[in-house]
Amino acid sequence: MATREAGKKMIMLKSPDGMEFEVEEAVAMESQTIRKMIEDDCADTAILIPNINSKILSRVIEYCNKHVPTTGATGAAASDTVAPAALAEDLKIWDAEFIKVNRATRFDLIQAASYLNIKGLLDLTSQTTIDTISDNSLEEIRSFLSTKNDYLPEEEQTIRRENQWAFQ
Amino acid sequence: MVSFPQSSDEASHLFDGMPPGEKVENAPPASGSDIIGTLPDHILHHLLSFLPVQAAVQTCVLARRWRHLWRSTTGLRIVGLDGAESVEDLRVFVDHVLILRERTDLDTVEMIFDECSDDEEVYVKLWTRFAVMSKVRALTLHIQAPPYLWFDVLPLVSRHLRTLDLEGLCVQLSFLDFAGCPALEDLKMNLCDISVEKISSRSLKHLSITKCCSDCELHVSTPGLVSLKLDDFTGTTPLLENMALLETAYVYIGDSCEDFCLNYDSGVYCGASNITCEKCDLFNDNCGSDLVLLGGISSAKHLKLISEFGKFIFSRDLKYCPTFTKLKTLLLNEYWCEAPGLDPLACILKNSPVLEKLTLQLFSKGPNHKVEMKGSFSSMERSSAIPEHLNIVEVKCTVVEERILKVLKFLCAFDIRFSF
Repeated sequence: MATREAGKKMIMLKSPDGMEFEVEEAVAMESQTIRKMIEDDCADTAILIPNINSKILSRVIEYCNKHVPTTGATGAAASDTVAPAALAEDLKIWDAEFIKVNRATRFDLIQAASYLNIKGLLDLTSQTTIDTISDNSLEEIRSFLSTKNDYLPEEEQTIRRENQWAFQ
Repeated sequence: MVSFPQSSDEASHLFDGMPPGEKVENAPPASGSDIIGTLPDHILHHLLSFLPVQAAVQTCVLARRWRHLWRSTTGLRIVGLDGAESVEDLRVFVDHVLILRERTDLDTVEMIFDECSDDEEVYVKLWTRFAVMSKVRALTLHIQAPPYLWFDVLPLVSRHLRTLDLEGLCVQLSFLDFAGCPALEDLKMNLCDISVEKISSRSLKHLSITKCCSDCELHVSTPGLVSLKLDDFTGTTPLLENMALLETAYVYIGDSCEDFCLNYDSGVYCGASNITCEKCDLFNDNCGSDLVLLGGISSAKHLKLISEFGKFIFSRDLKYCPTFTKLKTLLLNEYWCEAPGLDPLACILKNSPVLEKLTLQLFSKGPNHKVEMKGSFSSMERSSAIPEHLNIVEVKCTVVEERILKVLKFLCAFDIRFSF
């Protein structure tokens, strides 16, 4: 387990498959869910993150590590000769690389982001998912979602009539 | 395979105080072909928010589970299915969406129309109020084609609004006051007519005013600002009040700026030659010794200051030059190197005691430049006229000609040598 310099509070996150991740408190607090636990003093020892396996949890931590603000409370100073705009641009490029994962992993990340309440990661994963739909026609969306139509034909007709204003 | 709790109860035991999740008993069991169907409703509400609202609504016919999902999306993208449409074309549709929605909060609302006639303005204002009432955090309103939409919903009052992105709007009030939006951090205005005397917000951190115009002498009072972009303003240059927390500022004084000197010649303005022009006279009467731009941004760490020739704002401000106590990186264009003796450049360097990096972008707008030169100090002895910590000097241009050589010569006097 990596030891960090003194002064930074570390938090242990455990995945259900038994892996442990030691992360800086500030990084863990990128998750509003964990932040709330820490603020409510429910995080003395290790925090068990249910339902998120070590593979996904490690990716989530990687994201939080990158996105934790570099100035202020965490102490790590931002570079003085690189303007914040350039840093923001770097972060965008990093995000684009980070999210190059297969569909199943992306959905796992969406669920993890939602569960841990990490807005940036939830927006990134959701936006990327929607961006893979080539156009916004209903047929394209249906095939993208691979959703089986379980309406009876007359039911579907009723729904369409009810929402005729949306199909003009 | 990751297993997600089938209800929020399981999570609630472990995560005390976690926000309650959506019930997902309607969710079909996981299978390879319908992986998205395993996601709980509240995630699908979020996902659907990224689709144009027409496409989101149409998902109601996909399957039973999807029938009502669109009614609770966390965002609305009223942007047209294939590019922006007019308010007239979308009016009936949008009214249906807003009235038939569940009364759930909206996180983001994006409204982009290609045009809005006078008669339709009232609808856009109504929808904007709907968004504000729905506790919107990020609101975007763009009208792409003139005429400007007369935007008088202001003063906006919302505890939730953090981001406001406006384009093609006309705001003509005496005072654009965001005191009613204490959470507002990010304000973008592009192609807007902001004929107001004052923009004021105590909470604002990021302000971008691009290609806007004004008939008034606009004062910007945003003491908490962290980043500022003021790009190509038409009319009298806005006066920036103190911004002590500012990190970065980009200012471009373009051809549409009305603060120009009629007697301008090669970096020399009225005053130097004892003749005054009406433009300079009027300005001096109005402003006295107030700094217009440089006073407000003197706390910044990173500055990009670009101006067309003959616009006297920066040069005039330099007469009362503040000390840039935190300035680390500075980008300037040829404007600063035009006057005899390169006085403006010399002046700003003298007043930037902790400057580390200087970039001169001369007669080359970029982003790519044909010639890029890096300077290095040829001796350990530093001239006192050059900032002590300055260690990177870059000159970017298209071709090394006389006007560039003049600048290089100036820098050489400080023992800075250049290599290509």
